Amino acid sequence: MDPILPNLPAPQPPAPAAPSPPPPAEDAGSQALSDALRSSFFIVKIIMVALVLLFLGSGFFTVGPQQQAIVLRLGKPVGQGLQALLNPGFHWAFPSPIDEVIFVTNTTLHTVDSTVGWFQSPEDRAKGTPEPQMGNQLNPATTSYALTADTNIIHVVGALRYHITEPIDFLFNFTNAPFFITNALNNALLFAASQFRVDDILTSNRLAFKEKVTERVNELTDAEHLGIYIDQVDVDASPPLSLRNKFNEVDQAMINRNKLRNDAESYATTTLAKARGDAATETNVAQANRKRVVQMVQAQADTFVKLRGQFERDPAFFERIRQMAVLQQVYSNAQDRIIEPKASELRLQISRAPLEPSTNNYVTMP
Amino acid sequence: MKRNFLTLTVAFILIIICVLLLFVYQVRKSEVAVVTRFGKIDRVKIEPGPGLCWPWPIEKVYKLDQRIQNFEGKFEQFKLPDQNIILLSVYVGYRIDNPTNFFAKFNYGSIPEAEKTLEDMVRNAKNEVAGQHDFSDFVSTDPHRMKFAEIEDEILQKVQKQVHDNKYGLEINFVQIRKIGLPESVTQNVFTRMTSERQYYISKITAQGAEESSKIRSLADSQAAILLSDAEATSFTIRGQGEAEMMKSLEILQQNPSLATFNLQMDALEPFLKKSTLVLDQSSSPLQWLQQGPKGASPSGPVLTTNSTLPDLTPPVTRDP
Repeated sequence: MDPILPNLPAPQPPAPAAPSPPPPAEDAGSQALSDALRSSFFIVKIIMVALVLLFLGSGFFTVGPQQQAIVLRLGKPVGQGLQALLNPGFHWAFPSPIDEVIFVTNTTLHTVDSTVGWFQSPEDRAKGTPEPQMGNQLNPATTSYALTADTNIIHVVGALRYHITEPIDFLFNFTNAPFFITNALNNALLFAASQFRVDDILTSNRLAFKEKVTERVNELTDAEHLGIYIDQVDVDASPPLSLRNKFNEVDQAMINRNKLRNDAESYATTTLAKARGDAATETNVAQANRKRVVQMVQAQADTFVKLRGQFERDPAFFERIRQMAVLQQVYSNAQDRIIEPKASELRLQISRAPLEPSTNNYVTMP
Repeated sequence: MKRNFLTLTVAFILIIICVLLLFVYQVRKSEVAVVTRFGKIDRVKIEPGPGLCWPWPIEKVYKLDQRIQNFEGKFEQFKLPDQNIILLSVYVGYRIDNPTNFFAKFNYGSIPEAEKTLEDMVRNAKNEVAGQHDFSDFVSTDPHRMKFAEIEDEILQKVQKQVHDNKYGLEINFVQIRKIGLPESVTQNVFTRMTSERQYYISKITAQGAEESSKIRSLADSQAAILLSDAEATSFTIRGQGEAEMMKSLEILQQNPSLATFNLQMDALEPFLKKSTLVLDQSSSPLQWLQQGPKGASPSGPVLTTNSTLPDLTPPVTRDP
């Protein structure tokens, strides 16, 4: 049990030998024997002192930068509450079996993965093993899953990160605290899944699901005074592998629906913009027409007033003069002029340009 | 004498160490100790620290872990009152509460034996509790119907009661569901239902998309049509206003309709014949002067060809004498 014990009885044999020197012995043989005994006794003493020093010196220990330590003296923590914690640095305690030093890693994050609910074990997941092929039956002994509120099967997985805030609680309340945390996470995943619909967990209400898991884990760990703070809970979910295609099709349908909706929205925007433009054109044209017609008739009336006197004096002459004036204009404005020789035949090919198709493509409501 | 003293001191210290090792035992903070004298429990030490005892074979010290320990129950199947079958496993947290009882019941405080007993108790409790709950108590969208936590509580209370009644010296801290499942044949039914549910969603979403899209489109079309007809109405009004204004000028023209008509016809001719091709008889109106003297004038109107198809093209020469 104690490594020092077998060494300590060693110095005892010289003790009974010690009383031998006092009787005056004259012969050189016993003198030499006494000298030899004395020097060996001296060596034994040095060894003893060294052993005691070594024993005490073995009590030094260092607490690393992210650690704290608790010293148990004869099984009882030295110091009360938080004062029992030794901070990073160089420390001394009595060597075993008097004192026992327990180290706690406190500042770093510890991670725990859920062990139920996923189609792979956490080890396989970490290794990135390819997903197994699943038939349309799940053997509960080999494949783990959760049940959702709408009685669907879903795979869920969680990872939890925590750090230790109360090392004494953490050490002395649980034999295996990480195991408890793992199971608390497992329980929280099943608990949360059982009150959400499969679509909520997978898509629409992912955040609420995650919050529920976090809330439940906190509840469970707080109730047992574990002395940890949960920094983060990550969850992931997957539909059963054999149904994944079906779930993807639903996603695809949603994407299509959104695309249809967006297309319709943009159609509506362009249609309305075009209609507004056309309406504005229509009224503007009407406005312009109105102005033109009014002005034209106005001009006619003005000319009429000026010419009326002349016309009433000799209508025939007036008409002839006007006619010649117009004829002059017509002749000079003509693009081509063909003068037909007398009594000859003239053939003309008259081609017509095709009508342009209508550009108005509104679908008007009945 | 001096040397004797040193030797004696060393010997004394060694003896003390040996005696202490024989007569003193330690209890860690996480432990409790049970001291037996000749095989019978004599006393229990719960507080951490050193304690005294007679050396073996008179007394013997057993140390037990006082912290909360976990164990996982088996994954077993239960029939629920609504004929559904569910598989459940729970994990249990317990600690040694009364070392004397615990020690006496479980063969010198054997943890494996205690867990075996506990497992049986938990199984029975699970069975009893599961027998009172429908499947909808395990999973439900309705938070009031959902009894997940209550089921755990009921199992816990049942186990606690049994442990207490039997004086096992244990405290059960929690019972929590760890794994849940359905029989293999049932999963197939669930998958079939899930598949048809997905199919339903797919068609529902697709239909929704088509419906929304056509709603939006037709709304836009009708709005566009309204905009256009409003514009037509407006432009009609505008034209009407124009015509009303025009009437004033027309009244002037009515004073001599024949002059007004003649003027309008003349004005119409000019732009109408712009860029047309004229085919003229040599004897037509001003051209006859190229050949004849002014006396033999026999004007006949020009023959006109245009790009247009106005049917009635009566040249102004009809009035010519």
